[in-house]
Amino acid sequence: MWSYLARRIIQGFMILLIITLLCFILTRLSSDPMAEYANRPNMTEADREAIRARLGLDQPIVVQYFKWLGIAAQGDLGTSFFSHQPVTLMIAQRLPLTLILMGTSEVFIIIFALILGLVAAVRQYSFLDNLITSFSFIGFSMPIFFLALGSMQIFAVQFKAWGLPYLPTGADIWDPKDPLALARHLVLPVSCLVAIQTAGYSRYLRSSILEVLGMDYVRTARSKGLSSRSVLFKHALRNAILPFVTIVGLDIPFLLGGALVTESVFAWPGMGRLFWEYAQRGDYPVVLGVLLLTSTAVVFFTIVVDMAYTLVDPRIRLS
Amino acid sequence: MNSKLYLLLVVLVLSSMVMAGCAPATTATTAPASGATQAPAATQAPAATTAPADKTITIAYTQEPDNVVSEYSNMTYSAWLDQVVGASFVTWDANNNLVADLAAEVPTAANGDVSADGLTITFKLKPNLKWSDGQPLTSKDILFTWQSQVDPKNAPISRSGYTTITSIDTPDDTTAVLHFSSVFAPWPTLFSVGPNTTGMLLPSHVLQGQTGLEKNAEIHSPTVVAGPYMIKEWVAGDHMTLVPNPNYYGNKPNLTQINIKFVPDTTTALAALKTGDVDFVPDFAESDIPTLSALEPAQHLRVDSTPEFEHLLFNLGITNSTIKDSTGAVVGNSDIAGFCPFQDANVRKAIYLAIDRDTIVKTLLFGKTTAPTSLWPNSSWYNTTLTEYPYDPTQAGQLLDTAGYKVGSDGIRAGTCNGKPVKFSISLETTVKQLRQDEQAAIQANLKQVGIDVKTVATPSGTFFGSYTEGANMPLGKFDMAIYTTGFYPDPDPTGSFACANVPNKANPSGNNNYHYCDQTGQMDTLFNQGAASADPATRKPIYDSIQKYQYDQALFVPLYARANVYGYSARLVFPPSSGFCGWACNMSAWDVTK
Amino acid sequence: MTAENASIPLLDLKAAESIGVALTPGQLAWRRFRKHRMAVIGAIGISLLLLFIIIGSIVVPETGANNIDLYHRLSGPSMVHWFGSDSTGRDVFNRIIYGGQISLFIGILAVVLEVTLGTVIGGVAAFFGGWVDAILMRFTEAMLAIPSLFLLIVLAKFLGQNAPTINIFGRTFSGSVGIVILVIGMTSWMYLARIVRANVLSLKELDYISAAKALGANYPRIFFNHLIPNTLGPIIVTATLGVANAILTEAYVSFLGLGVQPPTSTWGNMMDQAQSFLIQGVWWMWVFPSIFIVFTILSINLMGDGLRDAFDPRSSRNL
Repeated sequence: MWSYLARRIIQGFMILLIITLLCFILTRLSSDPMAEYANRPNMTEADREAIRARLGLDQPIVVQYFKWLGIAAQGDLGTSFFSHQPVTLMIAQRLPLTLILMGTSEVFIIIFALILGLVAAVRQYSFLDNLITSFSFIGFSMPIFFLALGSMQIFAVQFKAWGLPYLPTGADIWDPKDPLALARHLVLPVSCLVAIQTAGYSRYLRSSILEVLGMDYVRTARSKGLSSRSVLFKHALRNAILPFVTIVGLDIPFLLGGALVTESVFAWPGMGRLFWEYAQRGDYPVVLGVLLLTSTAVVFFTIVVDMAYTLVDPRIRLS
Repeated sequence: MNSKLYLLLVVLVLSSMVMAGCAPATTATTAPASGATQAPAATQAPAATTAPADKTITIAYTQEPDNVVSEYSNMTYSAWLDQVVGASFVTWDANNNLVADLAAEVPTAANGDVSADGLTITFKLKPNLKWSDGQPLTSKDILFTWQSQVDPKNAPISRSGYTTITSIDTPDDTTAVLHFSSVFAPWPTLFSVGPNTTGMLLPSHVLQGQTGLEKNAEIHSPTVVAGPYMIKEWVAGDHMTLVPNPNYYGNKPNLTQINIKFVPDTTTALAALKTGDVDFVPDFAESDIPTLSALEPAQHLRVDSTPEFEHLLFNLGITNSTIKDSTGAVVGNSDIAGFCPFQDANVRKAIYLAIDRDTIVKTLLFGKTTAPTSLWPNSSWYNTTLTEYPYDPTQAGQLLDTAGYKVGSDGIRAGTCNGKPVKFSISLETTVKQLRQDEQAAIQANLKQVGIDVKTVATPSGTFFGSYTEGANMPLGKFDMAIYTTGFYPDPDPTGSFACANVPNKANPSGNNNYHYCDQTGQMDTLFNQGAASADPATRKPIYDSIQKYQYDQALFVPLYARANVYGYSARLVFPPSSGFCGWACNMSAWDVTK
Repeated sequence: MTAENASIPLLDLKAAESIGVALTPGQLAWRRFRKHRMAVIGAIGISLLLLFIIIGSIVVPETGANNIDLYHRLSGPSMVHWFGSDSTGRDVFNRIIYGGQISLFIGILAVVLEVTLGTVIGGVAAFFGGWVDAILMRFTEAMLAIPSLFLLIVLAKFLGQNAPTINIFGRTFSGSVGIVILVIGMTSWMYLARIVRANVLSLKELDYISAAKALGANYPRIFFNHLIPNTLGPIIVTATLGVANAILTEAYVSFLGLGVQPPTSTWGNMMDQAQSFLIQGVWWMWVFPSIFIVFTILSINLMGDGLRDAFDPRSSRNL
């Protein structure tokens, strides 16, 4: 098993290399860092060439990539073309609030998914199952930008206009260290994220539980006279929860990346917004820095989840 | 099963803790390590003894500036901010007149500050000027700013103009004599700040001897400034706080604090304006006008016409240019030729006549602006003798017929151009902004009526404005028509965009002539050079009138509408007059709040 | 729904069962599907939608959807424009009909691509194991680690540079339709690949596979006749959620201007246009495409959910 682990770790590094190279090329090809200088009529060509040379953009793409890789391997993610700040610092400033937003959402999503998935599975085809199915699918089908914009319009703007207790738009000046202000500002973005994501998890859990409930050993347990609740929690759930935990585990590293649209609508200073604003400018040090962070986390968690899965399921043999 | 499940959960939890532990423990409220959180060392207490009431306002910015000092920033948002924290030598006021700011008098030929040949300009500063830290502001600061601009060890965005200065003498603290190598007509834009001007004065006593200023913390977030306000705090990604500069030479600012909040887009800004979280939003679009009007009287709307305009351009690229530059090399060739019929002025006129610009202004822009005829609308340079092209699709059709392009059986015009068959199935490219897509649709419908089939292409601005080396369509000439906004102010000189030498091609990838236009008669280049040869507006005006008439007769491009600045602000804000040249931050010390 | 099924009434099926006549898997599946009331509702919903689109396309000519009328832009629902008009005066009702065609077309084709890629990659990786598994899975992980929105943007830009217009059946489509299908398909196969691989890994070790091997079945036979049919459950679930996801993804890509170009309309790019006018109270531009998207996705998901329950040989609880 240890040799497998070692192999996986080495392969993990290879994946990171592939990812960074792929993303580097794609970023450079998708947006031109020089585009923002296009509309300044009083810049001379010498000025533009000077900027291009300074940013290293006049060299072949592969050379630029290896230069970036060289400093990244030493732990330095470079400097943003646009904001002239060290990328590591920019990420560090935004990471805590991202984790707060995404972590809170994830906790609520898991709780709701567990409840909804369980109820829907146990009461399959009943009215309650149908109701839960419908509601979770409606949330799932809504594009997040409308949900976010709509909820901001209603609960922040309209509620205040109608004199009701209202939630903040996010565009006000607030101190993240104040727990009450933090909680108030979390309500809307977290609600949107939960509404969208819960359905996916709860459906998966539901089908997982149903599959287990149809198994022979569950039938055996029932015929032995065990109560339904006992069967459910002691036998079925334990086994059904395994794939669910796998899915959750694989999603955790993406929390680092934040939620692009939600952060944008609610002016949340997180990683998603950072990534999007700088990707549009073709600012590849920032983009690659964020990507490297999330990719490393994903690779790491994938290895962890895979190892854990094989530990738990004795039927799987690793070659 | 039990123990294995628990083992799995423990592993997951531990992994999360490890990952969390890897994240640095700093919070989002840590300001960038640039010293922006240190309050400047004020050496003089304000003269007033009554404690001012708390007057704080919040402005919404949809983009966070990169550097505050505009010489090292490419953003309009920085240029605006420079008007709040910086001061100019001379500047344009809300009536578009050139006035003195830090200057004792505006240099003109009449008062002798501008020499007869225009090559020597004497800058006279007001006496007893101070920086915000109490140190004196002198001609040495002008000298230092120029030196830093031309120093190869610094990397400002543009050295344009400053390189024309050969030397600066500083006989005393309030006088600087600038020697130019050639007449530089836009000299008032040097050492001044404005919405389209990037010449903030740098404090020599702070920066003397330092190079590599583009990485300097004082350039990123200046602590020593000369304008009405100064920066107290900058929380990256979130907001900036400004407080009055106690040593400002001019009228004492009324507000006690200005917050600038960075929001992702104008939708959020509008919501915040409605709830009162934000008092002023400077960058609404023309399409937001009806929404903002509906908010009165709780919130107000102001629309300022600007000299910028949206226009439709033709790809006029040729591959057989005969124009030579001073070294005898041929200039003006594009890599690939544009759509052949566009070389015929009658074809361009036909398209100009076929587009119903009035309807576009009335419907898409709610009638809030006008369709101009040339490059400098809403400015003193505008040639008022030119009348608008009418909307006349019949005449357009006739012009195209006469030019030899008849409507085919599929409804699309075809013919031969330079011996090769051509079909009027052409592309129209612009950015993804909704208003532009609507313009595209309207123009597509207009041109269809005269037998021109238009394919619309929409690309994000990062790609649309990309450079030659990145393979963007405009510099490479891989387009037929395009739409975007341009503007030439405060100085009207458009040479960078129209001269033969600036056509982008393999030898000249950074050229900015998106029209790929090289006037084979040489007239355009001659007129441009004449216009830039004198700094006297009275001499230049007739030349620029001729330029406008020439471009109008040639129908070189189709101006669609003049852009407007649209501001939304709350009723409690006292917002002094503004203008297109001067911007919204025209007179920051006059900003106030009502009781 | 075989011929026999159609002619034998339900009562006789039960009678037939009681005397030991076995039902074909298809008949079993159909009976299970019918029991799932929400699935039947979903199927009815989809049929109604398809009917609406087909009849609508016949009644309304395509020019009806692309006609500009600037002086009547942004007008609300009325007798002239049943669903109102958009920002250039085009009729929203007509655009919903023609937009529906394209949206569904994109959804279905994208999922076909996605399922093919995912099943083949995941199945082959699990079946052969060893270094084949390692390479394919590392590639999958690399693709998974990159945020999908980023991949969508750069791929769409990279591929969509100069998409030629397609002429089918006398109608002109922007080539961007094909690009969008390609892009969505290429960025969503990874989850299915992982699931298929996990399932095949588990199944590979089961007794009946060993039995098949012992009986001399060769690899393709085992793969296609035994392993894949038993992973059909997750494939079907993923495919149906995939169609819904593809329609939503199309909305996101259109949101960024990289989707289908106007004047060709899709529900996604109609919502994108509506976004600029959201604040102005122009509700009809986004409410109607929204309703149709949610309705379609809901129906598809419900139906797919029923199919999953129906095809799972182990969920025989409720028969």
